[in-house]
Amino acid sequence: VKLHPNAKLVPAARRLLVDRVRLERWSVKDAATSVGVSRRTAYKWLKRFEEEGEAGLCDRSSRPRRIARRVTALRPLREAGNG
Amino acid sequence: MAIETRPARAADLPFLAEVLQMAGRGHLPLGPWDLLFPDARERRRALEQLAGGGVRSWCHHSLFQVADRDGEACAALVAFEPEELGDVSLAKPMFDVFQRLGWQPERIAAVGPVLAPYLRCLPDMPPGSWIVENVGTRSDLRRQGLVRALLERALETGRSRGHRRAQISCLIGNLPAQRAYEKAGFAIAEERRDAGFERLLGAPGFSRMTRAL
Repeated sequence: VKLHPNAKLVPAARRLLVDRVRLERWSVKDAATSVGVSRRTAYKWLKRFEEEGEAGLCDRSSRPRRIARRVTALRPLREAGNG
Repeated sequence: MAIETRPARAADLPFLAEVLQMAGRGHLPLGPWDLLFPDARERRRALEQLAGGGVRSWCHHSLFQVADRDGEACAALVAFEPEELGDVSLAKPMFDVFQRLGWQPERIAAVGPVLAPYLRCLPDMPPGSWIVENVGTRSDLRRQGLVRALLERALETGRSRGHRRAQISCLIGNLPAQRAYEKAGFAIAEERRDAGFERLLGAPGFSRMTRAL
């Protein structure tokens, strides 16, 4: 699994966070503290788990979905080694 | 929803075995009982024997208080004075359990080194204190005040018996337990950490919490 370089938690730790809240009935505050993230981040993983299940705990692509002013005209040149 | 607390009875043994297991684990996946008895069926038998057998210890059902919700046992704890037991070590009751399970002497002898780091961190139970241990709530019924009701009752009993100080303990990092005990007036008095303990269980050690009664 390729993780974002600044990711504080690996997917297994996100799962621990989610399980502590959902199964062990920890408060979100305590569960967040226990794995070393903010409450805001804890809520993010809880929401993703709710929406997508286990798969939601993986990193998402951070590739821009849209590039506003893409320079496409130069592409063939660059690929040919003249860029 | 009606919460009632009462002394445990023999019929509670299966539930008390579960509570002993939960209390041992704290917030971790495995506790000392899982290490001693990896087989779940043997573990259940051992804990029922420990809670129901002839040797009285601070894991014995006669010292347990149970919280019922709508007539069903949902949480429990033990409250006791060390003088009442004479010896707070679990060595004798556990030896009895091992024998009843038919363990060979070599297997019994191997237990000591495995559990040594655990026993090093286990809080002292000083004479004169009113001690609460083995606290557990069914996981689906947490954060509903069951332990608070049990603790209030237990502290009242300790007070009426003339105790001036109460003690409780939890694994370092078991935030929900620590929070619940803080709400009941306890504060951390001592922490015992041990590298061997951390390797064995995954928590740094035990917090001993106390409060005046």
